[in-house]
Amino acid sequence: MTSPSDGQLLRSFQRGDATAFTELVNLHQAALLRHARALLGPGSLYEDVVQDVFLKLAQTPPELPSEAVGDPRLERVHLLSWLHKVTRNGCMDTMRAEKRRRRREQEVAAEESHGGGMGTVDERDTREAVEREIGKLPVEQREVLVLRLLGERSYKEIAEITGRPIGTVGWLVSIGLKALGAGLAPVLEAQPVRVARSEATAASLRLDVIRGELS
Amino acid sequence: MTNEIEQGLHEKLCAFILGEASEEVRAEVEKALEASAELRAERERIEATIGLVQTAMASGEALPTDAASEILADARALRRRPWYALPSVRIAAGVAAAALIGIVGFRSSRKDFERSDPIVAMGVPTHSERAAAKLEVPAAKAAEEPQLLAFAEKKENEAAPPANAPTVAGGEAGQRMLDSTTLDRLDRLQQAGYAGEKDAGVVFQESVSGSAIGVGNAGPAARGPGPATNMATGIRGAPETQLAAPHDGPVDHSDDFFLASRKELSGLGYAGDDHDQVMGCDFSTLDKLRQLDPSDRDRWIDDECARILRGCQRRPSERPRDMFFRFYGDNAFEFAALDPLSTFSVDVDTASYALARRYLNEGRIPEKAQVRTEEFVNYFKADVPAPTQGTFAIHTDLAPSRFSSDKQRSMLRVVVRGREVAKQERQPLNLTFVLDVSGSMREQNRLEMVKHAVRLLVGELGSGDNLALVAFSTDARTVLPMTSVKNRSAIESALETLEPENSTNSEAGLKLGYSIALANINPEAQNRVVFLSDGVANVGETDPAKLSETVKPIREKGIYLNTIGVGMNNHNDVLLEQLADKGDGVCSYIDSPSEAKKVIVDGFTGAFETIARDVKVQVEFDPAQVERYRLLGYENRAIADKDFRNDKIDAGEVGAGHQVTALYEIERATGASEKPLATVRLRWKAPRRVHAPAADEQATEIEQPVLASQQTSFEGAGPGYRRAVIVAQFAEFLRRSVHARGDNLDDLIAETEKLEKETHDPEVGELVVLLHKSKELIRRALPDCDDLCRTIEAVRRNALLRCEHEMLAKEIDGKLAVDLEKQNAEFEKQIKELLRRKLEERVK
Repeated sequence: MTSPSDGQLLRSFQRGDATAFTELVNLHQAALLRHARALLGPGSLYEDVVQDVFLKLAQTPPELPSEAVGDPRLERVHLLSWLHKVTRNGCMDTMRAEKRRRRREQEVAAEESHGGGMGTVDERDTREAVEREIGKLPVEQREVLVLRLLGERSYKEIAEITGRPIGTVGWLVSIGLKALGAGLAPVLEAQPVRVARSEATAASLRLDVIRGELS
Repeated sequence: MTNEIEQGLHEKLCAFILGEASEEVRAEVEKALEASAELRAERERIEATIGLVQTAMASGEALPTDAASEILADARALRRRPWYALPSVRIAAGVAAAALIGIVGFRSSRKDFERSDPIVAMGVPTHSERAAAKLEVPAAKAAEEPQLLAFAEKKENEAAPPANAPTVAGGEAGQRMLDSTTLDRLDRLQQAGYAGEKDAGVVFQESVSGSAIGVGNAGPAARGPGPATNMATGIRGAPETQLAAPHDGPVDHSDDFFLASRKELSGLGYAGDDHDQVMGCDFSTLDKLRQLDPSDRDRWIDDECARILRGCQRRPSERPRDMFFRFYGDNAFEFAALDPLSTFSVDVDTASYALARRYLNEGRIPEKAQVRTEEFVNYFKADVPAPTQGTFAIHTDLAPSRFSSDKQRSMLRVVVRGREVAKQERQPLNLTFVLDVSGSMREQNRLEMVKHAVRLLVGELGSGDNLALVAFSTDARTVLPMTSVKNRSAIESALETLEPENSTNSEAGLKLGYSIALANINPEAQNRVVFLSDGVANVGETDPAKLSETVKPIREKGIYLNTIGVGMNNHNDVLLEQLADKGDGVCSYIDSPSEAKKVIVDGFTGAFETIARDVKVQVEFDPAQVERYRLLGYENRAIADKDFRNDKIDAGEVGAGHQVTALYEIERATGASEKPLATVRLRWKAPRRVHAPAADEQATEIEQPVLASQQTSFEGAGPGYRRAVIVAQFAEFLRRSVHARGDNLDDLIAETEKLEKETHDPEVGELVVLLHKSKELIRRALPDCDDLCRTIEAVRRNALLRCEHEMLAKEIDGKLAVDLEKQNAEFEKQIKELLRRKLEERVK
C-alpha cells in the first residue's frame, strides 16, 4: 500500500474532500515557500504569494497530462512544475508591483547580513551563516540553488520552471556553489575533523581488508 | 584557488556531483579527477558545501496552520455566484418561469456544483458554526441524495455508546476504530451537507510504513547537526504479516499528518519495513506495464535499475556509519581507532516494550522504528543495588557475546543506577492531568483505562498534594480546578462525567493544562502536567516536533511533563515520546490494569521524583584493546562527542530508583594493557527547581573504568546481565536488525527458559511465553532473500567499502576504484536480468 499520490489527492479534492487539499498544502508548502523566499527575500510578501498559489490550486487545479496519470513520480513532477511556475509568476508580479518596498527590504536584509563576524560555530550560528550567505547571492543563482539543493528539482525541471536553458542552469549552479563555498569556508573548516591518532595504521589495516574482501 | 579550475570543467564537476551528468561527461570528469588533486579538493569542498546547506536548512517552512481552510473558504467565496443568478437570466425568465427555472436550475446546478465545484461542499464552518450545528439532514435533501441518508444513519449508530466489550482481536476492532476516526474527520464535511463517498467517506490507500529515526537531540550517529532531525512516523504494525489488504476499504486517516514526513524519509532512501521498499523494487505500476511493448519494458528495467543503484550511492559527504544506518536502520560497528568515544543521552522510557508486547499478543509484529532496544532492556526490574551515597552508581559487566555468530566478540553492559527516594520523603505534588476525551478514545475502552490510571494515581497521593483536571477533544476545558487531593469526591465526580466525543486537539489540551499548572505553580512542590492520550492529534497543531517545541519554554519555568499512552491501533508513541522528551518527563504505555499498576504504583517515585536532569553517558574505548564496538539501541539518542560537556544540550531525565542500561558489543584487538579497556563517564545536573538559582545549572561528572580482567564467562555473569543480553537479542530480532541475521531464535528461547528456571522471575517467565507465542510471527517477518535481494546487498556492501575507502585513503586508489567499478558493472547486469525475470513473472 502506498500513500495517496498527488494525482489521487487532486482527484479526491475535486470530488469534495477538503482533507486532500490540506494534505497537498502540507506536502508542498515548504518547497514553494523556499522558492518564493529565494526570489523575494525575507519579509511577509513571499508567504502571501504562496497562499495565492494554493488559492489558484483550489480554484483551477491543473490537468495532469495523461501519460503521467497513475505514475506517482510523474504526477508529482508535473504538479510541482506547475506549482513552482505559478509561484515564480506570482513573485515576478509582486516584484514589479512592489519594486520600491522590495528594495527597501533588501537593503535591510543586506545590512543584517553584514552584521557580526563568524565567532564560535554552533548549530544556530551555522544556520544563520548559511542563510546569510545564501541571501548574499544574486537572485538568479539563489533561486536555482534553492530549487536544486533544497527542492531537489532536476536541472531539466529547473530549466522548465525558470524558463532558462539547461546550460544556463548548470552555469548558475556552478557559480553559486563557488560563491557559497568561499563564503562558508570558515564554517566548513569548523566541522569536526577525524581523529588523527592512529589513523594511518587503522586506515591501512582497513584498506587491506577492503582489498581482501574484493579479491 | 578555485579560479584555477576552468569554468566549463567546474560546471561539469557540479553536474557530476549532483547526478546530472551524462555518461560521457561522467567519464570525462572521472578522468580529470584522477589526474588532478586540485579538482579532487574542489569536489570535496563542493560536496561539503552542499551537505552543509542541506542539513542547516533542513527544517521546513510552513504557512499558518489554518491556512488551508482559509484558502478553501476564500476560493468558495469567489465562486459562489451560480449562473442562474445573473440578472439577465432572471429578468428574461419572468416570475412564474423564474420559479420553475429556479427549482430546476437550483437542482441541476447544485449537482453540477458538487460534481465540478467541490469548493462549495467544503465550506469549512467556523468553530461556533460547528458547535451549533449537528447532523440535521432535511428530508427533501435526503430523498434526493440517498448516500447522505445512509451516511446520516451510520453516524447515528456510531453516536450510541457501545457496550463495554473486552478487547477484541485486532481486525474487527480495528475496522470500527478506523470508521470512527474517519467519521471524526467527516464531521466538518457532513455539516456542510456533503455526504462524502459511499461507505464511510474518503478512501485512501494505506500508507507504506516507513522506518524512521525518532527525534532525540540529534539524528543518527551525529557528529554535528544531524540530517533530518525532525522526523516522526505514525506507529502501526502490519495488519497481517502477509502482504497488504486490497485498497478499497475505508482506511485509517489519522496518520495522514505524518505522511509527509514519511515521504521525505523514503525520498532520502531510508530502509522501511515494506519488503519491496527495502529491496528497492517498485512494482506498484506493474499493471500498467502489461500493455507496454518490449522497448518500454526495457526502459522500465533501466529506470528501476538506475533507481536502485542510486539508492546505494554515497550521498555528498556521507560517512560510512551514516551510510550503514541509511541502509539498515541499525548502528554500525565503529573503529575505536577512528572514533574512540561513544556519547548518548539516557532514556528511561519503557513504552516500547509494553507496546511491542501488546502487538505480539494480538498477533501482529511491531514496526522497526517502534522497537527501541534500550527501552526493552530498561523495562525490566533493576538488579544493581542503589547507591547509598550520591545520586548515581555506575556498574559494569563484561562477558563473551552469547548470541553473536562471531564467537570472538564480547558484550559489555554499562548500568547507571539512580538513588532511591522513599515515598514519605518525596516532595509534595501539584499535578495537572490533561485527558484526551476525543472520539478515538472510545475504542478498546481507552478512556476507561485512562480513568483507571488517574484513580490509581490519586490513590497514591496524599493530603499535601493537589490536582487539576483538563479534558480536551476538539477544544479543551477545565473539568476540575486545582484542588487538594483531600477532596476525593469532587475528583471522582469530575472523572465520571467524562465521555468520548469529537476530534483530537492535543495542542489545546496541552496549552490549557500548562496554563493551569503555571497559574498554580508552587515552588515547594513538584509541578507536573500528566498528559494521557492515544497520541493521535488531528486538529490544531499536529506536528509532533512543533507540539513539543510548545512545551520547551514552559519546562524552563519549572513545570515537567509526563505522558502516558493508551490504546493500540492509533497509538502514536513517537508524539508522546517527544513530548515527554522536550518536557523533561517520562513516557509510559498502559494497556492493562496490571501495566497501569506497574507504571503508576510501582513506578511512582520514578515517574514523579526526578533526581537528575540532562544526563549523558560517554564511553571511551582504548584502541589498543578494542578494535571495533557497537552500541545496541539509543539510535535516536546520539549526542555529538564534543557535546558531552556542553551543558546547554538537552538530554534525558532520571527519576528516583531508575536503572539505565547500555550494551556494547565489542571486538577485541590483540593488544594487552594495564589501562582500562574502556572508561565510562556520566554527567548530569541537579533537578530544576522553580525560580531556579544559577547553581542548578552546574553539572556533576563521575567516571568508572572497565578492566579487561573483569571478564567472566556468560554463565558466570549475574542473572541481571544475562537477562539484559537476552532481552536485547529479542529486540534485535523484532527489529529485523542486520546484526541478528542468521541468528537462531530457538537458541534465544532456550537461554531464556534456562534463566527463568534459575531465577523464577515472573517477568522472565512472561518473556518466555511471549517468545513462544511470537516465534512464528517473528520468523515470518524476517525478510527472505531472493537473488535480487542478494545482489542488492552485494552492491550495498561494495558501496560501504568504497565509502570507507574514500574516508580513509588520502588518494583514491586507482586499482581499487577500477575493481569496484567492474564489480558494480557486473551487478548492474545481474540486477537488470533479475528485474527482467521478475517483470516477466508478474506480467504473465
